[in-house]
Amino acid sequence: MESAEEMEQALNLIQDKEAWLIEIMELYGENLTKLAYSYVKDWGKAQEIIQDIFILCYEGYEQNHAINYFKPWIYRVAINKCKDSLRTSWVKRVVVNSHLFTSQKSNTISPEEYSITQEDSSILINSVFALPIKYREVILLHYYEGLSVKEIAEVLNKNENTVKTRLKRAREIIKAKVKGVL
Amino acid sequence: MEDKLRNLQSMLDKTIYKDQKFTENQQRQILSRARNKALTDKKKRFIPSVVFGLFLVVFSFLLAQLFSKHDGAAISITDPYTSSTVEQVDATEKDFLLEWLSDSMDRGNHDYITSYHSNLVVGSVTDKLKRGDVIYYAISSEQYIARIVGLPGEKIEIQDGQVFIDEKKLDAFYGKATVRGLEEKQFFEAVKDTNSQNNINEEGYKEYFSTDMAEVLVPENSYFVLVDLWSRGTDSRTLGPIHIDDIDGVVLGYQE
Repeated sequence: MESAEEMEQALNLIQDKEAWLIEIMELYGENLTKLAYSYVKDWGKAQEIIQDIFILCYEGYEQNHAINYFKPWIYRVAINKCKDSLRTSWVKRVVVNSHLFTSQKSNTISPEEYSITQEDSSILINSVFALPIKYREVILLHYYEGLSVKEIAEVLNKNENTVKTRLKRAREIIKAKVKGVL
Repeated sequence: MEDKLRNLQSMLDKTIYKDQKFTENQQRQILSRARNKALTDKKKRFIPSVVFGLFLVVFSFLLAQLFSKHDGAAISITDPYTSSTVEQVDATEKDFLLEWLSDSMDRGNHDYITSYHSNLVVGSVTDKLKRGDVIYYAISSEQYIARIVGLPGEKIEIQDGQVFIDEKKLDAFYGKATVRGLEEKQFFEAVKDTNSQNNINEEGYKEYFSTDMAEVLVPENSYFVLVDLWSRGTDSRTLGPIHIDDIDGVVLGYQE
């Protein structure tokens, strides 16, 4: 049997754990979901992946809350998970039904759709999202998340020169695309 | 070029990333999942202290079984009405058709995957939803299909890959963890004599076949639903019981 004291300790731990979970969800939830979307290009899937990540964090609370550089850690875990899911997502859920579809279509804009409505910026966005993943991720981590080359290298577990080369190459591809269209 | 890329953040936030917030609803979902996990883990940790209790329970169970031999239904719940094969049906005007590509309901015949069969016929929700029915529902604009396992007022629990309803075993083809229709023993036998043996993650499958879920009480007007291939779909294990208002139809079968 547990003593009252032990019970209280267990409860405190759970409270701490939950408070920590809420904190990291608030800090990283939104950006991680967007990041995941840039890999899987599906909001539902992105949310699922990020949900799993937070559960993972919570389960490993004892080790994880003590990690010094938590942000690169959680980014790395999330990115790995996204890449895993790309490898295994041979099944795709599609719903085709006219009236259901219209009610669901809502206000989210896909990269493809957006190109019709806007000019300049859409071309740029499209070319970013059309990049192969290894270039897309460095561009988004650098320009969207504002990470430095060093931080990106840490997140992706690559050396800094590789990241620099990829960034350079990615900019060239985008440039060529944007020029080609205009 | 560099200037433009510097604006990437605001461009994306105004376009593709617009309206994408990490909502409170999502946070709540994650929290409840985390709590569920913590509860089941805690249970595992205190196993030694409950072994004696369990022994007592088993003993009394055996006694009870002895005394109620004439009434075997008392210890398990069965479902003789639901067939494990998907029917071919004629769609009427009231029904609608659904294209579905998820393998979350696969029982070995690519069940409910319309690229292998014809489209799914979905009928309207009657007030007589019953255990075993496959429903089509939507939670925050995500669509799902799953099978009704728990009815309003029932308590659902999963222990070691087996579903219990009000502490009675659910003795139906959908009451157990299966992989494409195969139960644990069948599954490991099936992979034994193929080359796939080296490729499967045995530990992972063992864990899957002994899935646990803490007890959930199904509220009024709600149903507890499960997909048939637990590892490949989302259902009440994470979403909680589904309210009848979120249910858009009953999947009747494949279109004839």
